[in-house]
Amino acid sequence: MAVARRPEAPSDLAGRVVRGAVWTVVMVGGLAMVVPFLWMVLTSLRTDAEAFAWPPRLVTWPMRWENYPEAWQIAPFGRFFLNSVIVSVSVTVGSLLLNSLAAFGFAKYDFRGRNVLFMALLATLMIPYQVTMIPSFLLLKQLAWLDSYPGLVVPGLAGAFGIFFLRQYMITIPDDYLDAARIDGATEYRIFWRVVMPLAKPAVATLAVFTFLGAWNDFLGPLIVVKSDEMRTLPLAISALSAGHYVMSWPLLMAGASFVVIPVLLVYLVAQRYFVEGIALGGLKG
Amino acid sequence: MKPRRNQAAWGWEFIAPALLLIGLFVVVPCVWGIGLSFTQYDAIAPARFIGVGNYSRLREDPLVWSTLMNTAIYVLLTLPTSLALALLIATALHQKWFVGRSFARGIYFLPNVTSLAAVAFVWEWLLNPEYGLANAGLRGLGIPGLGWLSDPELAMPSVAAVGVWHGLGFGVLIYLAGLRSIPEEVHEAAKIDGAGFWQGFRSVTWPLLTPTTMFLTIMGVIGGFQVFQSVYIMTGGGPLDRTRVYLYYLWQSAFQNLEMGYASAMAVLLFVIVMVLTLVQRRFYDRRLQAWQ
Amino acid sequence: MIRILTLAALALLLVRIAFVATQAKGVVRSDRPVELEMSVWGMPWENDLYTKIYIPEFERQNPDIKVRFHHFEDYGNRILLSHAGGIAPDVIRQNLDFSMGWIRRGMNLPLDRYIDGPDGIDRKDFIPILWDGLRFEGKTYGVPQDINILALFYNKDLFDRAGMAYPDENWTWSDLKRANERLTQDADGDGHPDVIGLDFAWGSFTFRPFVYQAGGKFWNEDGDRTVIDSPESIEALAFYRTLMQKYTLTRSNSQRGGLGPDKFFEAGKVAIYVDGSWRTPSLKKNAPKLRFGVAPMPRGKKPMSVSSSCFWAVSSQTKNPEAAWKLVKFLSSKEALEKYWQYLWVAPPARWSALRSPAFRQVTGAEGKIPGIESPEEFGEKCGWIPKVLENGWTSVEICSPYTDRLMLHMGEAVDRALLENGDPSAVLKEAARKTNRQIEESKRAEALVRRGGR
Repeated sequence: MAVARRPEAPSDLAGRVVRGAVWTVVMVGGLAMVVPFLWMVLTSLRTDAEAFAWPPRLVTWPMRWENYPEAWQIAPFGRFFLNSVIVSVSVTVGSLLLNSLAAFGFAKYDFRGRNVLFMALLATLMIPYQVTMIPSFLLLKQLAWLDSYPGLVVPGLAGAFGIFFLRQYMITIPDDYLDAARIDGATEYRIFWRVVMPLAKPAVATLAVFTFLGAWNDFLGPLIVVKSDEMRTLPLAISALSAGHYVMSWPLLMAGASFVVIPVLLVYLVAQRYFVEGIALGGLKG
Repeated sequence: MKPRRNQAAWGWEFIAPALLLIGLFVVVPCVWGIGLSFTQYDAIAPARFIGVGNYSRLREDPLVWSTLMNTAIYVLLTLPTSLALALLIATALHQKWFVGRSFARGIYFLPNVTSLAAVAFVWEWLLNPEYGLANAGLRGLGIPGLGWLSDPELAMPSVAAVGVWHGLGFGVLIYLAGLRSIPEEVHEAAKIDGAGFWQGFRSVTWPLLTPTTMFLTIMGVIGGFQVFQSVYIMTGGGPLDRTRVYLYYLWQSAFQNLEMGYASAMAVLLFVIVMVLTLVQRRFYDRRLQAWQ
Repeated sequence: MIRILTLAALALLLVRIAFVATQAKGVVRSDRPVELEMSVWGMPWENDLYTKIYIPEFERQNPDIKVRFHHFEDYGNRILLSHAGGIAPDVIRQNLDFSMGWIRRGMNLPLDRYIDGPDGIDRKDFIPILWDGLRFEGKTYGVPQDINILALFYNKDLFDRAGMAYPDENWTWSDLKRANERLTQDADGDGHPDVIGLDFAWGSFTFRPFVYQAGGKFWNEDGDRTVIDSPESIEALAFYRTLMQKYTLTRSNSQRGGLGPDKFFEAGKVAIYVDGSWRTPSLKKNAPKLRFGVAPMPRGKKPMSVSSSCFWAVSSQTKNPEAAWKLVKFLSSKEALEKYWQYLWVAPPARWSALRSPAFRQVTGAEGKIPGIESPEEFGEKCGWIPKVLENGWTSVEICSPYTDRLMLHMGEAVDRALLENGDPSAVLKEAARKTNRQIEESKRAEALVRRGGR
């Protein structure tokens, strides 16, 4: 890397060759990461017979787009999709609100036991969900929230990471801004909503993206909460297809997998910036 | 200026809702889980206190040890591979001359955002012994096809490979951030000392990346103990139990055998193991850091 | 203000927990129509039989009962989990293969007082071995719906091309082995056979009938100790292993969404395929051009296959046992079972009266979803074997015991070891028997403790 900082000498041919080779390897490796998705889409556009052709062909004509409507109908994917959206959006909105409130409380107010409490909160980050999975199930049973939206959403609202992440950001907002607002007669709620939240936007956006993805892709949580078909989220639905007695074909299954994967990829393509920056931000400090 | 009401009241005001939820869904379950681990409970008949019975059973259960071993194998297969690959790729991407950096960064991170449940399924098809793309490639090269997920020796490496593929982008991003945080002057200084690329990397970059490597190692170990979906979908723990990892066994005990008390004891053990491993790694890296300074 | 709202939310949650706890004690309000939940698994088109035919008819006959229908894919997990969560369906379709463990756990309501009560049913009209399978500690925990049987499916074109006679009820082990070897072909010699003589889901599932054919069995008289290490079983495993040839083993079996050997059979790449009777209609649906027939399993020392049975059970958590019984009785009536066969033809009905009625020979299929049978010849070729096997008693449900799950687990390991690691059949089966029996003893001890302490 130090090498690269200087303008190149024209005679540095060996260096160029090495760079070219490195570049090619990294790019080819990157494209290899995408192969499974390509193969998923390509398979989803075949007939059964084409999928079982030997040796497999890269592209088959005509493409069988009917697999998508067919897969959509063979299982109530519309409903699964709706469930995933309802749950992910509720978890994202709810946890962002709760976490930013708490982060604000921790960052901008001084009270006895605050630091101890904050450390305790950090300590809960050490507890993997899997450890509390069984009692959480029993708790939801006691609340009669199994197989319901609250059962899928409310446990997802609890988590210390968001509080920690946002507090680190809010602490950098100068107190003067808050005081200025107070002089103007703003209430503390108003300060939170009109002063702090707009300033914390980048952190909130990053957290929103990650929370949404986490909820959208969550598997173990819904796996124990959901009973009926109508309450399945997409990842559960797709696993049920493989575990169950649906007689389906690989092309149809790949079409089903696309329903789960493609929306997320679209979100990713649009919001890539937040992912990349968010990981750098949250990762190193976490 | 102070808020109109006293600070403490407002502080509590804002943290109360989150605190309630964390208390309810993290703290209460923790205590409850520890309590459950001393009972025999199937969630249908009432729980029965059996003292440390579950813990002595843990000690004697060969499956606990074999699934812990499988988990360790998974971690050993995924962690060094991911770290090495991520570091190499990140180092390449960090170079000034690297054209299309953000594109490359983007595609390496792509698998990470997708549901492992769905892509594990895609992988099952890619690795299908008869018609999968992987074996098609091998046969194209004149190598007979492999039973990626059915061969007892190959199944765990295959599951691990899917894990590396899914998680690699995260490592790349973190290492990139780590590299960016190293001040340019440090490199310049090394350059003036006449250090070549490799020497500079070894004596300057790698030590300065220690906190990053520590973070990734710790996350990798914790993540390794949480591997579940890929096993659940691709192998169901088989063949010959070679891919039955600890968490999968825990889940089976709790929700397939309804041995919630025993599974709670397994969860407590999981927590202790993860905790100890994290602390050990922290110490290890702290020492390394001190040694370099 | 937020704090007060939070405290209010906490209070509400606590009240809710208390309320749910009292609800669980069960206060049934009689002024509203009863709502029953029922659950099934199966092929997606099977749902129509329930939602479009059974349930509307039942609700018409019983206007005070509403039925909510569930179709679960990962059925066992869903049923267990919903019992653990206290939200079990009232009427549950079950199967001798996997439900005996649930009965042992007390998840099913004993039905004797309903079966033999004033609104009961005639036990004698059902295939008798099925009642044996449903009995646990002297009580009956379900009413049979069907009896499925493992059989040989064969590709007629591949047999014709090889100039070989189709399998029939006189086929022996050596016929099967010879046919397997003769039919396997690798024309281009790339080690990837174009036609596989015999392929199926290799494992304990298809191994079971060979044990019976060798003259062996799975359990002692009380059904609580396995005898899978008997010389007969060892002989069966040694033979079973010789059926597997040197090609990539198809391990993804019918439990994993039918993405395995059945697809290869449909594609005409497999000549002989072993699976349950339920496969026939889906083979015809998925591969309309495939010319295939079905025959009984081959004879070893005796002609034998292995069976299981779907049955209707009532959850012990139901709040409406009377209504649930009405639904069970309706679902297992002669008329319902005839419809079941004619419409789905996945497994023959459990009642002799339905099996021997003319309706049995008129398989209509489900309009637009599943084909029926067009001619008496086709019926003979695809279903003629069924009455032969049942009337002669060539099948057994003896393997179904409260501990089948454990046996299948360890027997599965044993079969895997024999197939994949060239394990000695005797050694691996002895190991399986030892592990199974030890686990049974352990769980009996544990259950005795629970009973004394808990219930």
